[in-house]
Amino acid sequence: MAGGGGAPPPSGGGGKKPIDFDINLVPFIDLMSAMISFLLITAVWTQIAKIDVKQSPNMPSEDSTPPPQEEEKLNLTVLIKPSGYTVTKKGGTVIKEIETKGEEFDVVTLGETLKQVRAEHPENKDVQVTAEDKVRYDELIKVMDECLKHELDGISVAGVDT
Amino acid sequence: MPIKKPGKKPFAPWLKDFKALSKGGKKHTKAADILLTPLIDMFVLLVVFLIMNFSATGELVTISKDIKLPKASTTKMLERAPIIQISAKTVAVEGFKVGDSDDIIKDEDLRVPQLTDKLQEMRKVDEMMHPGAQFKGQIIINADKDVEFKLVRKVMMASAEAGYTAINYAVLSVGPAKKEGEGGEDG
Repeated sequence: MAGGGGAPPPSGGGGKKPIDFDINLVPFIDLMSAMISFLLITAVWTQIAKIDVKQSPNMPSEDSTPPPQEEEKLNLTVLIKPSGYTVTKKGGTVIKEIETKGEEFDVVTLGETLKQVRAEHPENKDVQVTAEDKVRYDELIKVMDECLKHELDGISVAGVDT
Repeated sequence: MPIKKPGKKPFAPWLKDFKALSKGGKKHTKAADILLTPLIDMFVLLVVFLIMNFSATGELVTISKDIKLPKASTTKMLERAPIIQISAKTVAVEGFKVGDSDDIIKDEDLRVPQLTDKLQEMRKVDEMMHPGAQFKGQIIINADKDVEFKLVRKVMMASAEAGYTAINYAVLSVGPAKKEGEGGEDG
């Protein structure tokens, strides 16, 4: 890499020194090249992340003590069926039935419902996502993502015996 | 006094600095400088872009051809843990096949003994390697988006039976992934 130049040689005489000079760019370009090579080699192009869930209530647990019964819990549940979503709360009270739109699940309406529930019960952050066996895994993730968007981060997953 | 070979007699040596009188008229310099500014601009942009994409954790989950992960926007950063791969054809733990997906789905029993055994074996190894440390029970489920929930449910059941109760679903992040314990508290 020539052309970076350097300080021009003194013009002789020793009396006058030139005011303008070129910065030596060669080490800078070397550093840049090394950094680009390193970053390109170590680059991860697909961002894989996680959605974590609490242990579901009907799964076997090592902890033998039963969870304390809280009367005030909302017990918000989202049931995913091939025909759509059912959002229920304590005592099986149906908050909303959301039918599928053709083949597609109506995630937008589910989001609105969860937002409404969240506004009514701001203290509740738990939600149980249950799904029927034939439901695609992708739909489960979409529902969990929607719950997390509305700060319902205490997600537990369970299955429904059909 | 030494004898000098006569050379070309200079024409008026006191006028040699005048360009018009020098040989060939104008003199061109042969060395040309490369214009470095655009090159450095491009380098800086590349470095900034690559540093923004840089992930210190590296690639924890390798993506196989027959597993298409679902996408999600509200996610957390992945941590190292044993991985269960669920594709439409097979179920595998850390690359070792434990069964065919179809066979596991058809089986009416909710338990998957071969998967539970494998996970228990891994747990024993983990506890041997880290004596005294509390077993975290973290596991990553790396499932294809089109598999039935029944299969995922059975895998979850087998994991919980083996003591892996902290289940993480691997997803393709479409937004920035949060670090553990970050965000979600301001609502």
